[in-house]
Amino acid sequence: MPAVVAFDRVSKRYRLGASGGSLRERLAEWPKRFGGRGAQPDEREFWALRDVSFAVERGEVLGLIGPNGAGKTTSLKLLSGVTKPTSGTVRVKGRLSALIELGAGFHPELTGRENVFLNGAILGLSRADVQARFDSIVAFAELEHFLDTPVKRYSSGMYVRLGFAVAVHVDPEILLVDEVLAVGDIAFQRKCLDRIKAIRRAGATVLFVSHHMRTMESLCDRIVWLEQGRVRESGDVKAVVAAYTDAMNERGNLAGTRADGSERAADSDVVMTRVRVVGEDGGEVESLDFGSPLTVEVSYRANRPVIDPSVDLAIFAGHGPRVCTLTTRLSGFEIARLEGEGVVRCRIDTLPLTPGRYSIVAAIFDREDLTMYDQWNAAASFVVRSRAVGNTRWQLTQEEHGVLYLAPDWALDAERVPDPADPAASATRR
Amino acid sequence: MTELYRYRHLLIGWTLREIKVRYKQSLLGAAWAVLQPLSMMFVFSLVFGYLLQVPADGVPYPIFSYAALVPWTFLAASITFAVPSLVNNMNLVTKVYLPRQIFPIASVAASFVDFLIASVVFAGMMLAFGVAFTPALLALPLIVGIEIVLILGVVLLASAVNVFYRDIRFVVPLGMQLWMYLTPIIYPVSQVPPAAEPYFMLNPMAGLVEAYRAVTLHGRWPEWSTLGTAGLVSVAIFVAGYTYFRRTEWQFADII
Repeated sequence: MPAVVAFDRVSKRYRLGASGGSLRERLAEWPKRFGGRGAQPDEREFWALRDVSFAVERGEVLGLIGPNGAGKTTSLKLLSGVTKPTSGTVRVKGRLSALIELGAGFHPELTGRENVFLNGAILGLSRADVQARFDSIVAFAELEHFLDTPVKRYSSGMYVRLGFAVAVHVDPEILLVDEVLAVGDIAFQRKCLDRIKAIRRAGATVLFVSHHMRTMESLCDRIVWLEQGRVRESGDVKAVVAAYTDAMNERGNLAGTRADGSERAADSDVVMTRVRVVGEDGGEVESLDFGSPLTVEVSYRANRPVIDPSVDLAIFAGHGPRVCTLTTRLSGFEIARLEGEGVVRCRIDTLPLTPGRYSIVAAIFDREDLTMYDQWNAAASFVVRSRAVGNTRWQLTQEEHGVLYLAPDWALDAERVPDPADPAASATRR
Repeated sequence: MTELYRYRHLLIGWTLREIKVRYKQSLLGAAWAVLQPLSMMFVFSLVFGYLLQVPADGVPYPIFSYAALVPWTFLAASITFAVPSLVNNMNLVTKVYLPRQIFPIASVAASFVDFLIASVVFAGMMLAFGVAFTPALLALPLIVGIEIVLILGVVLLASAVNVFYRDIRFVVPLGMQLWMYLTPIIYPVSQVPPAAEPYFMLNPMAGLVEAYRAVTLHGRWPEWSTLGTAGLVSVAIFVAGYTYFRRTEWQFADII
C-alpha cells in the first residue's frame, strides 16, 4: 500500500485547565464529584481536530494550510508520536524527522554541539553517524562560531537553522516541517526549500505547513485545508490555494506575511488582496519568455480612504538578492487617493531579467514613505524562460550570468590594432 | 523494550549527560557519591552506635550502617533525581518523539554509577575492619538486580504521577524519610518484635538490606524466603509502575 502517512477519522480533544494540577486540588474536587452535582461539563474542552482523514503517498509533498488554531500543528504532533489521538488512527510508515514549533528536540541548557548529537540520537542515529554528518550540518546551519554556546542564548532564527540542518541530514523517509521557516531570513528559507526539494527528489515524503501560498504552490503536490479542526477542502494545489486566499480575503484575513514574518494587519487603511503576474491577455501566468513584457497587478482594498500612497514592488532573484525596486513614487506616477477596491498595474515592456526564478514583495507606503500600510512577502513569483539569444551555444541563466541582460550595442574600431609584442605582425594585418 | 534498544544511543548519551550535570552542579563533584553515605555513617555511628548503643549483630556499628546506607542511597538518590526528570525535560517531551522512560531510567543509571563508587569504598572498609570476603558475595548481583527492579518500578510510577500532580515532589522527601526509618538501616532486624516481623519484611528494602548485610558482613547466604518476598514485591511494583507509565505517557505532551 503506497500510503506512507494516513489519518483515519482522527479526533483530538484537549482539556483546558487540567494541566499539571496539584494533589490538593484534586482531593478538594472529590466531594464535589460525589456531592450530587453530577458530571460537570468537562471544564472547557477544546477539539483541536474532528474526524480528519487524509493520506499521503510515498514521495508526495502534502501542504497543510489553514488559519491559526485550525489544527495544523496538532496534526504534526500526532504524526510524530508526541501525542495520541482521542479517537481514530494515525498510521506512519518510515523514519520520521520533524521540525515542530521551534527547537524540535533541543535542550536549552546544552550547547549547540551537544544538541546536534542529542537530536541525532533522538532521531535514532549513533554517535558515529552524527559525527560523520556533523560538519555538513554545521555548514548548512552557518553556525560555526556558536557551537559551544548554550542553545538558550540562540535567537529564534539560529534555532531554526540548527534544527532544520539536523532534521534534513538524517536521511528521513518522512519529513514534517511546521511553519518555522517563516522565522529564518530569506536566504535561509531559500536554502531550506531547495533542500526539501532535494529530499523529495530522493523519494522521501514531506508534509509542509506554511502560510506562504507561493511556496506551497511551487512545492506541494496536494494541499489539505484545515479549518477549526476539520478538513475544509483538499486536492489540487492551485484550486485549494485560490479558494483559501479568497476565503481569507472575504473574512478580512490576509494570506501571507510581511517580510519579517509578522502578520499582515487586515484592518490597515489599505491592504493588498491579490498580487498577480499577468500575461498579455490579462490572465495570470507563472512564466514569461526572456525579453517579453512583465505586467504585475496589485489588487487592493481600502478600508479607509488613503491620500498619496506609493505602491512598491521589489523583485528578488531566486537565491535572495534584491534585483530592483519599482515604486509609483520613484516613477513619478501619482496616486492622489485610494478608496474602495481597485487594481494597480505595473508594466515593463522588455524585461531585462535573465532566465530563472524571481519573487515579488509588494508593499503600500504612506505619503511620507515611512510607514507601510501593508507588505506582502513573496506575494507573487514568476519564472523567466530560457530562449536562445544571439548565436550562443549556451543558455543564459540567472545563476551563472547575473540577473540582468542589457542588450548593448557593440562596436569594433579596427583601423589600428597595435600589437606590442610583434610590430612586424601588426603591419601584415592590413 | 525493543524500542529502548533502538534508542540505546540516546539512553547512554543522556545518562552520561546526567552524570556530568550532577557533578558540575555540586562543589565536591564525584566525591559527593562517596561523601553522602559516609557522612551519614559518621553521624549514625556517633548518635546510634556510640550514644544510644544500638546493637549491630556483633559487627562494628560504622560498617554495619554503611552496608545498608550504600544501597539505600542508591534508592533515595535515584528517586530524588528521577521523579522530576520528566517535568524538567518537558520541552523535549512535547516537541519530539522519544521513549519517555529514558529520562527516569537515565537518572537511575547515573545513580547506579554512584552506587558502584560507594561500593568500592565499602570494599575498602571491609578490608580495614578485617571482614572476610566469602563466596556468599556471589549472591550480590542477584540482590543488586532485585533492587534495580524495585527502583525502576517506583521511579516510573512516581515520575509519571509527578507530571499530572506536580506537588508529588514535595511528598517524596518526606516519604523517603519515613521509608528509611521503616527499613533496618540504623537498627538490625533482630530489634523488631517477632509479631510484627512478617509485616515489617513486606518492605522490600528490608529484605534487601538484610540480604546485603548477610552476604557482606556475615559471609553467609541470604535468607532465601525474605529475599524472595522482597523480589516478589519488587517485581509487583515494577509491573505496576511500568504499566502506569506506558498507559499514560502519551498524555504527557498534552499537559502543559
